[in-house]
Amino acid sequence: MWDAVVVGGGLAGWIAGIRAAQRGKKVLLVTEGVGTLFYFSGIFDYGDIEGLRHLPKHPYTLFNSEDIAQGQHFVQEICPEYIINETPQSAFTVLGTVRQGDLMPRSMILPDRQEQGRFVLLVPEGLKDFFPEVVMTNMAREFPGWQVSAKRMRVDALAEWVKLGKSVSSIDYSAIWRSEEGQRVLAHEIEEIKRQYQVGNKPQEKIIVVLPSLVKEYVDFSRTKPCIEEFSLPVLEMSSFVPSPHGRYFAEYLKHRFTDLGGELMIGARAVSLNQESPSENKARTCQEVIVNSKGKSLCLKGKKFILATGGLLGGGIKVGMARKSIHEGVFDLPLFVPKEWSEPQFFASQPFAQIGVETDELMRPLDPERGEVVWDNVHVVGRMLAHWDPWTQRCGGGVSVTSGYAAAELV
Amino acid sequence: MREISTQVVVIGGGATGVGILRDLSMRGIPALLLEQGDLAHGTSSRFHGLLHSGGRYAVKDDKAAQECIEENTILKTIAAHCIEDTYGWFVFLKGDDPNYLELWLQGCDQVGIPVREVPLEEGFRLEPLLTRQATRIFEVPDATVDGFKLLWSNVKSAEKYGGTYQTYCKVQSLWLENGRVIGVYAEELITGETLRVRSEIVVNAAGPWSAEIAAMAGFNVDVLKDKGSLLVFNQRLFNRVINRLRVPGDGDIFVPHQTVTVFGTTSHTVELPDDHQVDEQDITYLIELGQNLLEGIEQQRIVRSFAGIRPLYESVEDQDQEGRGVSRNFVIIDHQKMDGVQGLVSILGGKLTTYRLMAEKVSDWVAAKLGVDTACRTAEEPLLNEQPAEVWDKARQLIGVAAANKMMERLNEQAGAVVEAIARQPLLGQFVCECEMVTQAEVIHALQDPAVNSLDDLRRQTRLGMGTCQGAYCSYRATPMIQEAFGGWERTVKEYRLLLAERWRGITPVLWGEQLRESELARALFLNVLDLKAEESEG
Ligand SMILES: Cc1cc2nc3c(=O)[nH]c(=O)nc-3n(C[C@H](O)[C@H](O)[C@H](O)COP(=O)(O)OP(=O)(O)OC[C@H]3O[C@@H](n4cnc5c(N)ncnc54)[C@H](O)[C@@H]3O)c2cc1C
Ligand SMILES: Cc1cc2nc3c(=O)[nH]c(=O)nc-3n(C[C@H](O)[C@H](O)[C@H](O)COP(=O)(O)OP(=O)(O)OC[C@H]3O[C@@H](n4cnc5c(N)ncnc54)[C@H](O)[C@@H]3O)c2cc1C
Repeated sequence: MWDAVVVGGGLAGWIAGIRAAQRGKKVLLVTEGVGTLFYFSGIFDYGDIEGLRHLPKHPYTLFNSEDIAQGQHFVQEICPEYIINETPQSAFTVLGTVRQGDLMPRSMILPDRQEQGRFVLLVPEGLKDFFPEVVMTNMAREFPGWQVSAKRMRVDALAEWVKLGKSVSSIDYSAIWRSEEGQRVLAHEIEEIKRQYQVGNKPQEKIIVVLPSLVKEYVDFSRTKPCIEEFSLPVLEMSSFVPSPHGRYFAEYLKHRFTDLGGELMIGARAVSLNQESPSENKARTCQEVIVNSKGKSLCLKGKKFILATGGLLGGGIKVGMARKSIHEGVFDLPLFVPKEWSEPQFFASQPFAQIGVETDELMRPLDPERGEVVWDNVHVVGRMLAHWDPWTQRCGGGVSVTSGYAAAELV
Repeated sequence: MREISTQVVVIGGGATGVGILRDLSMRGIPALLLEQGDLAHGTSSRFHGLLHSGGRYAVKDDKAAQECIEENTILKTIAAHCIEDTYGWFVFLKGDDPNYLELWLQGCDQVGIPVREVPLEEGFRLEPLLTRQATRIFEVPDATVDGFKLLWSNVKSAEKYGGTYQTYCKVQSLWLENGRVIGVYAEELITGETLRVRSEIVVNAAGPWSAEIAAMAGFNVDVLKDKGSLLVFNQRLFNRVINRLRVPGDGDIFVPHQTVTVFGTTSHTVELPDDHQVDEQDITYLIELGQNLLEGIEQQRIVRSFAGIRPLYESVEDQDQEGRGVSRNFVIIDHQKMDGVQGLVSILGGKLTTYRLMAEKVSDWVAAKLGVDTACRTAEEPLLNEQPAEVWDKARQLIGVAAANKMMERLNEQAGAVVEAIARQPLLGQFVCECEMVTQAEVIHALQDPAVNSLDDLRRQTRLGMGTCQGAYCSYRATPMIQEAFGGWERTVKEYRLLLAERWRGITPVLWGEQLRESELARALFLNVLDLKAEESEG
């Protein structure tokens, strides 16, 4: 019997699992895949928290500012490179435009636009889904007072590969930057940039090296070698296209954090149902165990608490069948809020279907939308499984997931 | 105002219009085609993609059936690169009408459609998804045709003979003088400039818009606008065209195209020539009908839906019948005879399979008016020449067999230049579109064509954005190329938006299952990863 069984290992599930384990609880995390973490840019968006709290039923209405701040501090605690700031910070997107973010690693935060200086974009040869010319024009437009130049570079280990016309993903490059050889190459390139631009006539010019995806923030000293030492010039990371090295290393880092704290893990396991009847009017509303399919076997897992973090439509927690004849939550078969209108004619608009999810009480326990009663006393729903929000137009994906995951762990 | 003159103006860059342009050009008659959008802006890119054998019309309409089988045979020779000779099956199901089967076999025999009965076990082995309710299967020379490629080859061939065309040029009115049509006024939509074209004859080949064109001269032509909706599945469910052997009706044909399958159709009369909205009821209705031929259809993934408008000719006798009953044959209306005005001819009805024949008949008429007696050669002269083996080999070596085959098919005579570009710079062999295996070099090449004015044009040219991602990944990957071709970040963002909006129209009616997930990811990519601004919703 576990104190908590977390179903789903995305951002929300991991945060819940790590926090519960940190609190000394006996936790099991069951997940089928890695969720949307491999898409995660490394920047936590919280959005306009106060504004969103005025939207009826938005997940932020379940929390007070204290809860939200606690989640943010927790991120900072486990990843000290993350900076909490009063005002939103900015970073470069993969196209060199500027995007805001609320909680981001030091290495991504842009310098002041009022200052002057030079960006030197390091362009690793054959990097997939990266367009240096577009990036440079965008950077120059966003930072009028800055010079922008590029330096192409190659890594011997990849030269043959690239010559054949094969591209290299940013995840592969990140792995190289973590190797000794990679670091040597980077250090050498940066040194050359320094010589080229600083020895000249303008020794005072501020130079920043911009590198697509360095993933400095999740250096786990206990496992990987100390990565990137300080270089001779400041290095700025960009966020990248998907799949993102930030997400990939962050996922790995969270996993290590969790197991280091004694959390137990079942990966590649799919929770399929409850092992009991749905509660009727008078029965106890306590869930006892869930059934999980793992490696062809079916297991019953008992817990005092269950945290449902299966990620909604994208994570696979909610399935919508052909012609929408069936729409259901896959583990507890929870009642769902399903919007009447399904989509908006404009693609970039806030989409009604994005609001689909589980309605809960303040303790994130699932409600029956018709009767307004709690369905299960010991189930908490977190992250994208919650109803009434749209992470993309409201820019609060990480915020809702971290806040709800952390808060659920506090209830274990 | 710009002014030019030519002998013949052809209005409409659909299959019919480009066929006429080529035919006239080959006869040495100077002609200019005007199209309001890109080529295949109308029905010719919104159809089922079936090169009919005539089997579908064998009972009801022997004339149409005969034209189909004749044109089917001709096109398989002259337009082989646009056609996949899949063959088609007519499948008779348990409980279907045996009398119809008899009539059908007789009909095919009479008009000369070769039919071979396929033993059931062979049928189930070759098409494992085919319903086990099938009791008899007949094979006919149906095939699949890529409409855009066909249109493109026609204009390219016409150009070789001196024909010209202009896209994004919309005819606004006919130029009338003393009871004669002596040209047209058109607007060049990209510049906003007015163009006046003087000509001896104007050919109205505007498909579903034909009535609008005729109305510009104050005439009435009876075109029935009949909307048909289609569903696109993410894979090749069948390798042949699968028809149901019964009285032609809704939802009874599956057509494999490249990596996807198109299933349909429906039939509703509509008012507007560009009413391309797909109704959700039609989709559920189609899925239900599809069950008959493909039992597991509910488990399959639909990537999008679309609709097109059949420009059916409504002759006086047929007027009271619903869409499908009207003959699919075509008519040529000489407005001098009909309305007493010289210099204007309208071509109405038909289908894509018979476009060449329609073009031949119109061109015969035009040639007679102009006193030109060169004979039609479009039935003999191929649209394209075969590509040299060296180009094929090199392409396969550089980008792999599957990708090379697709590219060679798409580009044909123009493949050489693209292959050379990849040889010089191997990284240009990377895919912009992974579903359809479109390389960077091919995109760059396509963008050099002055007729490609948007990301959406690029889609039709290269099939980029037609696969399961529906443009989410490939429009991002085309960024540096579209920025280079069209200039500026703002323009690039606008192109993303237009392409995704166009795709979204086809996705929203089928928004569930895997496609819903894919769409949610696409939203995350553009609104979050690329940080584009959200739009206000209308509601
Ligand atoms: C393209 C993209 C970019 C993003 N960028 C940002 C960003 O810049 N900033 C930001 O703040 N956020 C970003 N996000 C992340 C966003 O915040 C997350 O999608 C959101 O936090 C949801 O997380 P989640 O943990 O609820 O769900 P998910 O990450 O979807 O995790 C759900 C997990 O549950 C598992 N699962 C599902 N069903 C079962 C089952 N039955 N049994 C076992 N396991 C199951 C899945 O395998 C998955 O691991 C981005 C997301 C995407 C897609
Ligand atoms: C759902 C559906 C399925 C079909 N399936 C098949 C099939 O499988 N096989 C088959 O053989 N046939 C099929 N057809 C029929 C076939 O698609 C049409 O008959 C054929 O494409 C018509 O071509 P068109 O050139 O006459 O018309 P269109 O392709 O519509 O061309 C007319 C052109 O005129 C242009 N135009 C209009 N007004 C103006 C103006 N003012 N100025 C400039 N240009 C103008 C339009 O933009 C348009 O591009 C199908 C049709 C539909 C609707």
